[in-house]
Amino acid sequence: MRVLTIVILILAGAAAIPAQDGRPADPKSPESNPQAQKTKVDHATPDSKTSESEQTPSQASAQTPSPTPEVKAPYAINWSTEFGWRFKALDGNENEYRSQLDYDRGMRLFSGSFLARPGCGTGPLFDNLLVNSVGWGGDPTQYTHAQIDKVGWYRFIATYRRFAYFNNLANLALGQHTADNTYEIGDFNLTLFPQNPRFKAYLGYSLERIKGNSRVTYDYSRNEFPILSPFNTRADDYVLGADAKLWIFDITFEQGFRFFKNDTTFDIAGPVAGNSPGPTMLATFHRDLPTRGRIPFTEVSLHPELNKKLDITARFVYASATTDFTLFETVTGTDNSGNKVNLDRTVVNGNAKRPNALGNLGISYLATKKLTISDSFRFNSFRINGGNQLLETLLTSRNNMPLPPVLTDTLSFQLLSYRVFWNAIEADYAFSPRLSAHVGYAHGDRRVVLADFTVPPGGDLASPPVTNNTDSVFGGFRARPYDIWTLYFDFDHGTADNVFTRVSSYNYTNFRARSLIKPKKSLAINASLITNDNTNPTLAQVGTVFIPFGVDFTTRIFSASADWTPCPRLSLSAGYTYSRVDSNAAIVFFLNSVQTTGTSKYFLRDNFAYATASFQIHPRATLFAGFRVNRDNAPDTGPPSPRVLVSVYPYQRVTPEGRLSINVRKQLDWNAGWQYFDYHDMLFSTLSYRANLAYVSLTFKFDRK
Amino acid sequence: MLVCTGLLTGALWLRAACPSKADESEVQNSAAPPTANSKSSDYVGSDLCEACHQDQATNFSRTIHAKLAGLPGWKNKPDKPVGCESCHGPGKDHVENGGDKTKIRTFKNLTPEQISDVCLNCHAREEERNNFRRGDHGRNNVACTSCHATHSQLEIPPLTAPAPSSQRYLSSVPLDRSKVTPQYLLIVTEPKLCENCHNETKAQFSQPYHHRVPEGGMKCSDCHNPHGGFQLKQARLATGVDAVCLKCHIEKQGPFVFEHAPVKEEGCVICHLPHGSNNPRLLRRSNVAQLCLECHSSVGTLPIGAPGTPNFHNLATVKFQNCTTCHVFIHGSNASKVFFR
Repeated sequence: MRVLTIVILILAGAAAIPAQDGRPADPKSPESNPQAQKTKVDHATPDSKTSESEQTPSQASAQTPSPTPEVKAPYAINWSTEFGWRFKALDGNENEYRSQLDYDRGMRLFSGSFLARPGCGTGPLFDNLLVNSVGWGGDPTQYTHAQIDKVGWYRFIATYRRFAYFNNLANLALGQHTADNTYEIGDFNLTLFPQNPRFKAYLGYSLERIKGNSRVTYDYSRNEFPILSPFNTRADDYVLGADAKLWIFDITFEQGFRFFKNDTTFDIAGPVAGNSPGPTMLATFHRDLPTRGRIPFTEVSLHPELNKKLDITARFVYASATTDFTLFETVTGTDNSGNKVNLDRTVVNGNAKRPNALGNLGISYLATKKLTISDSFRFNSFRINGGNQLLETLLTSRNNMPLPPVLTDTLSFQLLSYRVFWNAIEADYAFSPRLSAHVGYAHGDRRVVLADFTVPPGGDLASPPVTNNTDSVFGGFRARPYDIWTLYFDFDHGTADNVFTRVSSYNYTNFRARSLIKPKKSLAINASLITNDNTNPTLAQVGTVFIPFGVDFTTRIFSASADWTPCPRLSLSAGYTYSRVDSNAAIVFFLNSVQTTGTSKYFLRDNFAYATASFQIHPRATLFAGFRVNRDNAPDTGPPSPRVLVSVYPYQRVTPEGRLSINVRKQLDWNAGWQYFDYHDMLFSTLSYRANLAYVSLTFKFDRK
Repeated sequence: MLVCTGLLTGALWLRAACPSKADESEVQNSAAPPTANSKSSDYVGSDLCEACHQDQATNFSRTIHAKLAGLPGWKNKPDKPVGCESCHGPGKDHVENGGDKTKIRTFKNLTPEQISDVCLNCHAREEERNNFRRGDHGRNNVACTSCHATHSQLEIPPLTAPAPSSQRYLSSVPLDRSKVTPQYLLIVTEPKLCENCHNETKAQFSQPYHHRVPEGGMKCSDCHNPHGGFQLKQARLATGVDAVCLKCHIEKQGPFVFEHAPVKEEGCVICHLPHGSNNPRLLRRSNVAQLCLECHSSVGTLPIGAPGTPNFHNLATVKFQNCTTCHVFIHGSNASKVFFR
């Protein structure tokens, strides 16, 4: 069947080429004559003329130019589907390949699009019906988007995605954390009276499903064991809401619910030895951890605009998340003392709650035609209260003699309380239509409380509140010194009096500049430069001495790209991005029970370059060629030292590709393509792979006006 | 180099700060919102506009904007003109002066803020857009027309839909920059639209581990609200208040009895790079132990919450170089304070 399909696809193209040669395309046909297309479009609109002159050859071969339609059918339908066969040849590490790409051979619906619109512009049921799909049939990314609407009455938007997620990487958790899961994510939203200025209503439903085979590890009796963990998690979201105009207020109300369910189980297939040497062994293991959650959330938003001078937005959201769970775990085997574990049974019951309030207020005062003063305020506060009761029964024996049972009964509670106030005030001034600038000041105040309480042994381990105040100034401008050139620049400089995590910054300075040059509509040259400098000059007190114990990291990103369509038959695109990260953090750890002060370093030197060309080599044939390379050049990190941990990931991935599309008939394209991925892992050479991915496909098109 | 950069910037600033006469006339002309001080008799109706601007009128007639004229709540409302004059302002003077461009609002030389103000007159009513002025795009003077084309919608060609997935992986097929897409009058589909300015993201999404944006499974606007919002980086929120990541990564949402506090205090980006990374699981470090130790290090008395590692964590052994082998449920756990199960 598979071979037959491939043969049909190839023969369809091969057979069609002589047919095309034997019967020249009708020169009057716009599909076969680009000049005709252009001429026809010239009659349409100046806009359409411009756009047509810019369209790429690949599009030119597939897009039917669209003059003002003469309505002959009740519905104008525009439909295309590309389906075909994908080939794969792989050499090297399959797990790494699947973790990065995971394309497999087989029949595919590469893409599909369908658009139906009533010829007269409006129909009894809908005004637009649009469906787009990619990847169905086995690609790791499968996506369908649909929109159907009738102006004034309703708009329904649906998105359904199915992702295959494979992760089996030897360089993470000793290669023992793996996943071969499927994510299903669907969003379905209906808006009633979407264009009504007084009232509109929303209904929404979303689903999230994660299923598949996973593997994790479990630490039992000071040894680690790989555990099978078939993933089974789902969530269902429901939302209803409305927008209303009352007096001067635009009011939005939304009420939502998420229901969460996790029925993932944990098992071993048979006796398992641990990673570390020693007597510990699992003979049997099973864990159920059914978890149920619900999150009702309510959102209210107000937006008055007063006399075109004062624009105010206020929003308040309250959510109260709850989780209930029961853990039931049984273990038999051998513990690290060599005792036989006849039964280790653990039952944990508990729940956790997270009430969360979020408030926002934004005010813009349009002081003059050129000056706007704005203030943004944010408030967020949540508390996470959780508690559980753990009951453990441990029955062991040694030399067939039962040891006294060990019974554990503990109650644990934990509290995480978080509150933030953040405010930014800024002024925006338009010097001219070509130059505008803004400058502002922001202040943030955060507070965290952590508390931990266990019975027995008892005792309140609550820490005092920790606060963090951040002050920053920011600003920037947009300049258009010439009609063809627009320049964006902004900066942000801040300081903090404390940090919650050491990788956060006491001081940071960020710059960002973007240049967009568009000499003509067929040529665009973009460039950007982004810099981040973060320092955390902490001193640590060891006895009476203070030692430097900070974290510094810098980021530099330079990116440039150009898109050029010199003529309708040729389109070129190229770009280069260089990303550089240097991170240097003082750390402390234990080497053979000796506390050691050292350094953690991380370096990224990522180069990314690409070039593509699309060329209409014949009125019926379009050739696409592309080349892309990612390369991380690890810098010289010096001689290895037990006190210095260095993290780099040198690698190179080269990806050339090509595609030939031949317009066989008015409604049929034959396509053949090839992609090659050469991944060379310079850190772990066994992870390298080379993959050839090819495909043959047919594109069917239907266009009825 | 700094001096040169400063001088160049200054020169460009001056060049940009000095408006041409045309610019000035446009600004003056655009200053007054037409609906604020205009009488209904100042409006001439779209039919009259079509007499001269036939092409624009034809294209406009196919957009959703044109259909408002027939809807209750819009038709016969002097304060809510529909058609050309809803954006361009009353056309009476323009018509009576033989098509004088200075007598009507044109968008070519408006400031980005002024352009956006015109759109926000109607579109700020929804929560999605009502904080546009204070969002990153609004603050940096990106106008609505940078992404949307209001009356250039042509008949929709098939390939304004996503390019074939066989091509999409690299997604380097240059998409038409001027043809309007079927949805939201965008000038080009995502992610190309966003990459036009944020071109560094193309490199991030080309790294070995990335979210499925180039493959067509996700869009930038799934996670970011291009129209503002209140969050950093214009990020969206899941279930009203939580990080947008939790929309799909549901098993990490909690609440957990034992939370890994930074996940909630600092967000997922404290450990992960959401666009893409050279490191597995989108991590910020290729060596997980370093990622952990950069927080879990304490010497003496430090004003930092993360506890240091215990003394039996011998980093000379493979076991303790792989933190997540034991601390499996690192995002949070209901049963283990140290995230074992």
